[in-house]
Amino acid sequence: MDHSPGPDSCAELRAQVGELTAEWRDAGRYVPRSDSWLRSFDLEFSKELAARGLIAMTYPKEFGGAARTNVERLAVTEELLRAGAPVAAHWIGDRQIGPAVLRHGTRELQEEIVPRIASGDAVFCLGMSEPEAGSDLASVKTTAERTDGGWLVNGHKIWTTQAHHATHAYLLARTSREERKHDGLSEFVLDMDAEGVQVTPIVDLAGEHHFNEVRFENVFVPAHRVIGEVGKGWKQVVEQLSFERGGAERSLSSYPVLVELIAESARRHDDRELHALLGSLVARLAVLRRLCFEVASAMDAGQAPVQQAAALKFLGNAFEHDVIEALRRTDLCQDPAFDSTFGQALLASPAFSLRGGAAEVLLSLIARQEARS
Amino acid sequence: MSQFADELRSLVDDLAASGRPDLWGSLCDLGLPRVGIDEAKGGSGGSLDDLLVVVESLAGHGIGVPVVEASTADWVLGHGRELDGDLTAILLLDRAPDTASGALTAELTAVPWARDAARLVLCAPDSAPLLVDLRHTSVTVRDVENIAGEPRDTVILTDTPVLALDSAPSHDEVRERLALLWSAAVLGAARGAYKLTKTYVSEREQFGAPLLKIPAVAGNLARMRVQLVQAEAALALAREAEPLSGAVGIARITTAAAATEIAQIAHQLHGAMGITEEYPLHRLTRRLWSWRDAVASERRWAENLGRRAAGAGETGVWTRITATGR
Repeated sequence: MDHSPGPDSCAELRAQVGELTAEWRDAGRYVPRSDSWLRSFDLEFSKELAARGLIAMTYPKEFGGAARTNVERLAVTEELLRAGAPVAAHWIGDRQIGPAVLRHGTRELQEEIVPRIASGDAVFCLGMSEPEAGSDLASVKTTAERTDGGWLVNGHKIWTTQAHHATHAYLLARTSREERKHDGLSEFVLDMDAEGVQVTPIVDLAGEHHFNEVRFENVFVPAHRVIGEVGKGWKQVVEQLSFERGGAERSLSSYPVLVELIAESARRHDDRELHALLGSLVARLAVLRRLCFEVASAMDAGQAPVQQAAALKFLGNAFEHDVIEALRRTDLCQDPAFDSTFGQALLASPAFSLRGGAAEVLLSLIARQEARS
Repeated sequence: MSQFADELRSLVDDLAASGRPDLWGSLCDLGLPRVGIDEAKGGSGGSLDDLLVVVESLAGHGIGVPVVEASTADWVLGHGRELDGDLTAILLLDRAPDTASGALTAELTAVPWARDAARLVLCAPDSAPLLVDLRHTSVTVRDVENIAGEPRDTVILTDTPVLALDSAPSHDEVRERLALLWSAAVLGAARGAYKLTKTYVSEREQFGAPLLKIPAVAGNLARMRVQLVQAEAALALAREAEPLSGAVGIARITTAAAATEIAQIAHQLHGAMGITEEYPLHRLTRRLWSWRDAVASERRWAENLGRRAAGAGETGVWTRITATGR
C-alpha cells in the first residue's frame, strides 16, 4: 500500500485547521496558550475536530477513523499546537490509546473503544506513573488479579493528567510476579466511573489542576479489556512510548513564546545578538520538525522508532526550555504577568522534560541501544 | 541518499585502511574529487549527493585532503572549460576586488591548499569569479596552517593578471555548495569521533568494568548520539531543499553545534588518552574545530537566518519549516 500523502493533502489539512482555530479564537471561544495539548481542555472543541475527521486520522474507517497517514496527522497536530488550541480532551486517547488498542486489542475491545475515541466521546488518562516507581515504569505495584469474568485492580497511580475529566483510563498493572520485573505486566482499559476508582487533585505550581492521584480499590475490569497478551505488556508499552514521544508536542509546547521572539526580533532590527539567537532556535526547530516527519514516516512504514522518538523528545524538550530562556534576552521577561505568554510557558516548563520519560531516562535508553548495536 | 552510497563508502574505507602515503593522488586517480561534475567537462559523473558521501566518508577517517575545496573549484571551472589534472584552490571574498586593469594586487589570507595548487578561483558577490595563476612570477605564497594542520596559506598578488570566468556559477551558489560540503565533512568527522569514543568506553576498563557501565559515561555517549541524529537530519533537510532556501545555513548551524558538543564529550570520555599525538582522536576533533566555522562562522549563519526569520514573520517561518521533508 502506498502510504505517501501528496503535499496537497497536507496543505489542505493545514488550511482546514487554520480556518477552524481562527474562527474559534476570533469568537473568543478559546485563548491560545502554551502547552495547550496538556492544559487546554475543551470537549466541545475536540468533538468539533472529530466531526471534521481531524482526530483518529490514522485509524481504519471501520472504527470511525479517516485512514490517513501519520504524516498527514502530523500536519494537523502541528497546526493545532501552533494555534495553541484546546486539544487536551482527546490528545492522549487519539495519540496513544487508539493506536495501542488497534495494534494489540481484541476485535471486541477495538469495536468498543476505538470509535468512541474517534468521536471524542471517550476521554483517556494514562495510568502509568506510581508514587514509588517514578521513572522506573517496570516497577509498578498496581496489581490486577483474575476474578470471575475479568480482573480486580488494586493500586495507586499519580501524576495522572486530566483524570478528573476522563471517562477511561489506560492502566499498566502487574498480573504476576516474575523474576524479571519487566515480565508479568499487562495493559488494561478501565472505566473511570467504575466502583472503587477515586480521583484526588494535585494542584501545580501555577495553581492549576491538571494532575491527579488515582486510587483503585477492587475495581472490576471485564476480561476483554486487556490490551494484548497478559503478562507481555512491557514490549507493548515501549512501542506505545514511541507514539507518546515522537510527536510535534515535544517541540512546540512553548511555541507561542517563539512567536513573540520573532516579532520582537523584527522590531529590533539592529540587534545582531538577538537575531543570532533567533536564527539558532529556528535552525533547531527546523531540524526537530524534520525528525518528527521521519518518526511519522517510520510509523507509516509500520515501524516503532523507539530510539529516534527518544532522541526527538530529548532534543525537543531542550528546545522548548531554550525558547523561554531566549525571551529573557529581551525586556519582555520583566515582571511577567501570571497569564502572559512568557509567564504561562515558564510555569509550565518544569514538566517539559519530565512527562513521557525524564531526560536522563531517555539518555539511558539511547545508551542501552547504542551498547547493543 | 545516493544509490552508490555504499559502494563509495567502502571504496573510501579501503583507501583509508590501505595507509598509502599519497592518498590524495590515489583519490584523484580514482576520480573521486570530481564526482558530481559531468564527464563531458572532465568530471567523474554522478551527483552532488555522491560527492557528499565521499566527503563525509573521508572526514570520518580524519583524513585531511582538499576534497571540498578542489571539487568546488573544479565545479566552478567546469562550467567554462575542460578540466586538467592540476589542483585548483578556491576562496570566497566579501566584496569584488578592483580588477579594472585586468590585474589584481591583494594579500589573501587563509587560502586553502594554495601551496599545492596551480590555480586559484576567487568568488565575490555580484561579479564573475576570477581565475588566478598561482605559478605566475608575481605571486608569493606564504605557508600558514589551521589548527588541524591543514594549509591555509597567505597569497600575495602584485599586479597579477586575472581572468574573469563569465559562465561560472554565482558567489551565492558557490558559497552554498561549499557550505553543504563542509556540513557533510563535519558530520563525517563527528561520526568518526563518536565511533572512536564508543569503542574506547566499551573496551577500556576501570573500577572493574568497562567505562560504559558508568551511568554518566553512558549518558554522555547518548548525548553524542543525539547530536549525530540531529546533524544527520539537518543534512538530509539541506540535501532535499530548494537551492538558496536557507536550508544549508540550517545544516551549517546544526552540524557546527553538534561538532562542538561531540568534540567536547569525546575528549572528556577519552580522558588523557585523547590528548596524545599518537591516538587518532585529535585528527577528528581538531578538524571539527576548524571545519565547523569554515566559509562563515556558525554565528554568522545564525544571524543571517535570524534576520530572515524576523523579516518573514511567524507565518513565513512556519510555512518554510513545515514545507520541508515531504
